[in-house]
Amino acid sequence: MSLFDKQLLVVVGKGGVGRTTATCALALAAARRGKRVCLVEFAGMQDCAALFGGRRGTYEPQEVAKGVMHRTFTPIDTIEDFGKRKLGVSRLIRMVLRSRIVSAFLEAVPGLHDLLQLGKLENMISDPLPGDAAYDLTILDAPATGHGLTLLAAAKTMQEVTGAGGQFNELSGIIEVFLRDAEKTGVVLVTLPEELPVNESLELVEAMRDLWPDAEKQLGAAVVNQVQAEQLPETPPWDAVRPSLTSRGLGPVVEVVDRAVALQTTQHAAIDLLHKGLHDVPVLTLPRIPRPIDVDALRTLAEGL
Amino acid sequence: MTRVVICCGVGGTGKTTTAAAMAVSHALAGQKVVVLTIDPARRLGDALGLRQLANEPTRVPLDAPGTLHALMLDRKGTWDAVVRRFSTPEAAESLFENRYYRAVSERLTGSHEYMAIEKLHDLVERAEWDVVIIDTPPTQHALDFFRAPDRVRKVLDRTVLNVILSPGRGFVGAAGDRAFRLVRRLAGDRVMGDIREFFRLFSGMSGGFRERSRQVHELLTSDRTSYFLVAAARDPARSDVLGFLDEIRRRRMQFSGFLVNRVAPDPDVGVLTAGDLGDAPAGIEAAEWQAWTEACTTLVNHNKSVHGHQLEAARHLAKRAGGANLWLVPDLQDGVRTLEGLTSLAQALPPLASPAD
Repeated sequence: MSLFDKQLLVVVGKGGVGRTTATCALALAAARRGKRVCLVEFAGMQDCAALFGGRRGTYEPQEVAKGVMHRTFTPIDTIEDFGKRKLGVSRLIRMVLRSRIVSAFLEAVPGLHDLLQLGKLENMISDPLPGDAAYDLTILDAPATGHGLTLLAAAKTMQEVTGAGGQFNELSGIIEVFLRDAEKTGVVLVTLPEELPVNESLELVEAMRDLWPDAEKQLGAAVVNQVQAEQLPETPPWDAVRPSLTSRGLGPVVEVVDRAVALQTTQHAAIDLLHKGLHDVPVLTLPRIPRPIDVDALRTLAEGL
Repeated sequence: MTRVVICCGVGGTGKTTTAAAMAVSHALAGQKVVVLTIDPARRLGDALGLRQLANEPTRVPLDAPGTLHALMLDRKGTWDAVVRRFSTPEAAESLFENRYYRAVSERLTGSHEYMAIEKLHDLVERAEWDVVIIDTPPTQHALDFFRAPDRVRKVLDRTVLNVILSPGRGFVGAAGDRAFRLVRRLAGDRVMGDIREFFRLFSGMSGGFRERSRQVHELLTSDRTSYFLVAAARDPARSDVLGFLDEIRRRRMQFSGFLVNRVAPDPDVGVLTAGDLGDAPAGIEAAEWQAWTEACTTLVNHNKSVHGHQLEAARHLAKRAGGANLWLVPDLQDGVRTLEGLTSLAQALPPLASPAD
């Protein structure tokens, strides 16, 4: 089953690996396949909408590219939304939810914001409100906190805190079922072609196994970002060419090529390590783009997916 | 007086490594320095001799005129230490058993940031070092770091305490009661029980806690504290980097400059053409040699242009920030594994003021 046939992709990875770039490229790639895509991020992140060259992200969906809508979820919007659904629309509830006391309390319940935002996602997909458009695929750029694991564990955290009873507990049950349905939901792991980020990604998979023993089936794909294309001829090998350049006093050129060769070796080793660690999970690559990412760069990346 | 250096910036730019290298450079300049790291990659932890969370500074075996200590933030341990300081032993023990306290101390949003600042304050108060350096937690957004004290304070706010401890009474009256009932309906009875117990135990220490967070705030804005922004050479002026700068300035904190990290090296040679590499040597066919000379020249010229672009982007960033200081930190391709690696990075970092400043 293709990655793009799922209903939700949760894109996780440590800060700095290009998670947002990968999320946007995946959205464009899905739209190219004719999917209606909704790109979701939580408030306070890099802002995908701006990356597409649009205005700032909003809670109301806005189109950022052909076939790609974008929304930014904020805790207060999702809390209100939850209040509306569960408790019926009322100015009083709105007021209470916005009050300092209740918001301070809600702030303190661990994982609650993540849970409510996931709840909104689940609603959007399984039971859209009359005003909500229907999408084929929703892609979430997960917060970098705990490399994304904090988000995936939000439902479990809530169950530990609440025990039985209460509507948050009920919601966490729904979220857990929703996230664990591998037909519908896939986790996409973003990493870099270097030893350290790959090891950290594999540690993240280990931690996912602690959360869900069969976590591997939840992994839709791994995306290796910033992969440098081969820049050097295969034959003859560099070792055969190097001495001539050195003897001709071209030390600085040799230094540059040495670095490029080392980079290729590092990349190969890192990608091999990832393949070995992930067994059957598909590994996709995105080429390195040596300039700030803009909408043209995103299109180039999407074409390769 | 102990000075404080705070390395901030978005995740993945090498903040932790840069902070560690800065600490090495201070020690080499003869100062007594301690570096507080938040989430070091294992190799960097090894380089500093840190294999696990340690709430106490450990001496790093660096051959330098000064001394270098390092520690890795233990968030839970720091929370527990705060509770012990402001609470009776009995109340502290009951708190440690409380489910809600455990969740708050491990997972409350902002508590990582808050505890980093708390630990910083602790190190400054001990007056054992000339300089304390910290790297900030990998928050995506500047506000998360600077708002952390406010957020934690808000949770422990006296009004909230009153409402939760005595619903239906007190000055918030019926509205508070309604809020309480709503929260109970949402969160369930068990949580309400845990939370009331938590706040009951906590109310005794809330005065000390508030005073402490006021002092922490003062330290962050005082002129003994300077902020460096670490940015990635590939894209230094990302919107979130600029967001950090705005926040630092808006809060009238002392901004000391940008550390642009992982700058690609400039090849030590002019722009090349394939002919510059000469004819095919014996043993290599002309066509193969041509492929290699083309690849080499393309690579060298490409690296030169990447270096040039990165330099330009970094200078543009500094200019945009009103002529801020700028330091370029070279890309050590393989990452930093050892103290020697940190020492070579240290060469590229800001020259130091004397401890008497």
